[in-house]
Amino acid sequence: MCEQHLTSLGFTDQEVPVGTHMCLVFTEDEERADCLRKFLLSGLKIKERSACFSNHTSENEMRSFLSQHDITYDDRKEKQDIFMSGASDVYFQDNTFDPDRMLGLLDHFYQETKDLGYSAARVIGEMNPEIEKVKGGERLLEYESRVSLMLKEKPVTAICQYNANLFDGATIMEVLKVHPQMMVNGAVVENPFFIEPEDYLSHHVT
Amino acid sequence: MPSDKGLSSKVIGQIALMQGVVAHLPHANSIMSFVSRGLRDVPGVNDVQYKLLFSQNQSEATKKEIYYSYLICHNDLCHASLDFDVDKTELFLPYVPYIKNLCNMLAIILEEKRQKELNKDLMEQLEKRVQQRTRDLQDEIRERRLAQSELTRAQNFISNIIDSMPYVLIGVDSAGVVTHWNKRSENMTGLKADKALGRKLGEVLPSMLFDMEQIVSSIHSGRPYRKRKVILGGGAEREHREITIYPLKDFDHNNAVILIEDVTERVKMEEVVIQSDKMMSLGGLAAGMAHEINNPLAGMMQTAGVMADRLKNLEMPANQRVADSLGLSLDLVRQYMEKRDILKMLDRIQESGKRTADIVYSMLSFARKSTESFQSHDLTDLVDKVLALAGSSFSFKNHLSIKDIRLTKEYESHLPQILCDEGKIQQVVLNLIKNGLESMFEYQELCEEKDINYEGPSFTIRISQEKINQFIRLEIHDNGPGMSEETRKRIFEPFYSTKPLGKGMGLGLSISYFIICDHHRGNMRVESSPEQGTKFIIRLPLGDKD
Ligand SMILES: Nc1ncnc2c1ncn2[C@@H]1O[C@H](COP(=O)(O)OP(=O)(O)OP(=O)(O)O)[C@@H](O)[C@H]1O
Ligand SMILES: [Mg+2]
Repeated sequence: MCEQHLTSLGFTDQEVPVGTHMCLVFTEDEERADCLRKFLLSGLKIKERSACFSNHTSENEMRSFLSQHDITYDDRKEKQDIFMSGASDVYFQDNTFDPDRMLGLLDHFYQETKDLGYSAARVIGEMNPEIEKVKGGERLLEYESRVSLMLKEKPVTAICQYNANLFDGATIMEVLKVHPQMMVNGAVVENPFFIEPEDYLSHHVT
Repeated sequence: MPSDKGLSSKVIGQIALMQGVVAHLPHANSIMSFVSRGLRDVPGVNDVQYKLLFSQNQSEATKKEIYYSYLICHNDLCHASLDFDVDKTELFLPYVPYIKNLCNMLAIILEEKRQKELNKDLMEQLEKRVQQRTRDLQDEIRERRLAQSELTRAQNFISNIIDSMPYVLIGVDSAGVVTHWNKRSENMTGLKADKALGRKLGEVLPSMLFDMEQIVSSIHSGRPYRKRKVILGGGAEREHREITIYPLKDFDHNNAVILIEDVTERVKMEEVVIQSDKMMSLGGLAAGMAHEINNPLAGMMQTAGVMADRLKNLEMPANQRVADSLGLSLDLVRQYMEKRDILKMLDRIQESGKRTADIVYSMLSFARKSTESFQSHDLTDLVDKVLALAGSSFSFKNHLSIKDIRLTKEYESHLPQILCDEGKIQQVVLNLIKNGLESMFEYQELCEEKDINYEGPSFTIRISQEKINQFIRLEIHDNGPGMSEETRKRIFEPFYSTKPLGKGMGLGLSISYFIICDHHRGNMRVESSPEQGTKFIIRLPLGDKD
């Protein structure tokens, strides 16, 4: 694990170590959108490199949100400060969820960020219930667990958003178990459900 | 990390945090599914299933052997149950208080969710109802607007109709207050609608003051009421008005519409029709009577003549012979007759008989005549001939004649000829001229007596063509005394005369009427009122005689 330095998330006053892997369970879309916008905004402000995978917040929305904060989205996109894409396009390429490809992407993003000289990188993504239908969907928890593992070496601050209206309660419980941190009542808490990836992977993945 | 009682702080933290998370989950199902999955981590637990007591969701666990089951109840209401399949009871039991605590907490959260759900349902229903109502209202408003504009259009249309009607149309309510006042009402009264509306009918139309009772009773009985009224208009001519009261009943209002129609023209027409009917029957009667009277009259007159001969004519051999045979002196007989005026009496019988014969002869004019004697004539020529004749034939008091009056002729040029009986038409014109002269000279004398300013007798005679109806129109207009309504209505009746006995037979106009209307299929009428002169109008058809 690299030497820990703290970063702000934008939607909470608490600072968290860079490389935090956090789960955000939401029921209201505004909660999701608000969190997403603030996370990206704060990243741009402190010159971290940001990536966003969402089906529900478009570049246009972001453009107008950022302009309210005197940030020109297109300039920053040009400079590669920010990258946005639809979540499904990234997660379910060819209708398949491939944890290895996803981890490769994350790895690449981390490496590139470092090479470009940014202080840190951050990623926010919304998982969609499509995952339950696509090929490799059952590997979601494995993937999340491996992300936690990878971030220990290659710290990218990552937030995973789950819509509680669309996922079953049991799935939510399982998802929580693979995220070391979670947002509860607007506060970031160490997740008591969390199972260390090494344990989780040895128990659940064969 | 087992604690002193063999409790794992991680598990206890997990149970505690579950309470925090479930509040953020959307519904009972996700909450219970989340919790039951989380509780599987409790030591000694093999599996945890849940049952939602408000749903049909049948837990698999019910089929298994259940060791521990916890109901999640709030007050008397059970929301769910958690069924634990426990394989190591001694490990599980220390957590039971925490689980029970969680269940209590869950009960509150589920109740809250349920309430929220209920409220949401209610709100949704309410919202739906509000939306539906809003839509309904909008529809209603739209419909109403449409109806309103339809109504306005209809109202405009109706008020246009009402305004363009040739009647005075007034709406009144049961208190006699004016609610409608159309253009004709404005024209008749000179009172604009805004000045009339809301006021009592009697105030704005004083002539209706005495009809108020009738209006009210008509409104109450629901029966329409009609009457004719004679009103003295601006001029001396009477105006006839027909007043109709139509009661209107709608749900809660009792109103009436009053129609006032100027029927003066219609009344005149009716008079003419009545006149003509009356004349035709009277004419027929007169002609019939004339025939019946004629024969006995002739007998009487003949006998009277023979009597006179036998009494007066002494030279007649037959008279002499009879007297001689009786030894009677004819001379004495004659003396007796003279002394007793018998011969004069015989003369009077002759005279009266002659006069009766004249009347009978005139009455025979009423007999239908064929049109065989009809020939084409220029009406202006006929009239001029009569005027010339009148100059020589009548003389009046103080030797007055037609030469003593002003005569204005207004003849249209190039008038077509008419087919008519020359003598009869001349008789008609002569009658009219004679009547006019008689009336005007008399009137002149009267004016002189009473020192009334009179411009002197004058005739205006107009002859023109009515292009539309193909009639030749003759107007003979005098500036004499005119006549009262009563006279005017009767002048065409046979034997109606205002002249002293022996002066007028009262046949002149009736015969004229008969000649024009019956023989010539034309028409004839009079316009006259006291002090306004008299105008006779004769219309003779241009078309072929049948
Ligand atoms: N021009 C006139 N002005 C006023 N009154 C008239 C006029 N012409 C007719 N009359 C009235 O009409 C009545 C009827 O007229 P009509 O000619 O039928 O009878 P008459 O003149 O009285 O008698 P006659 O049989 O000798 O004509 C008259 O008595 C008179 O009162
Ligand atoms: Mg006469």
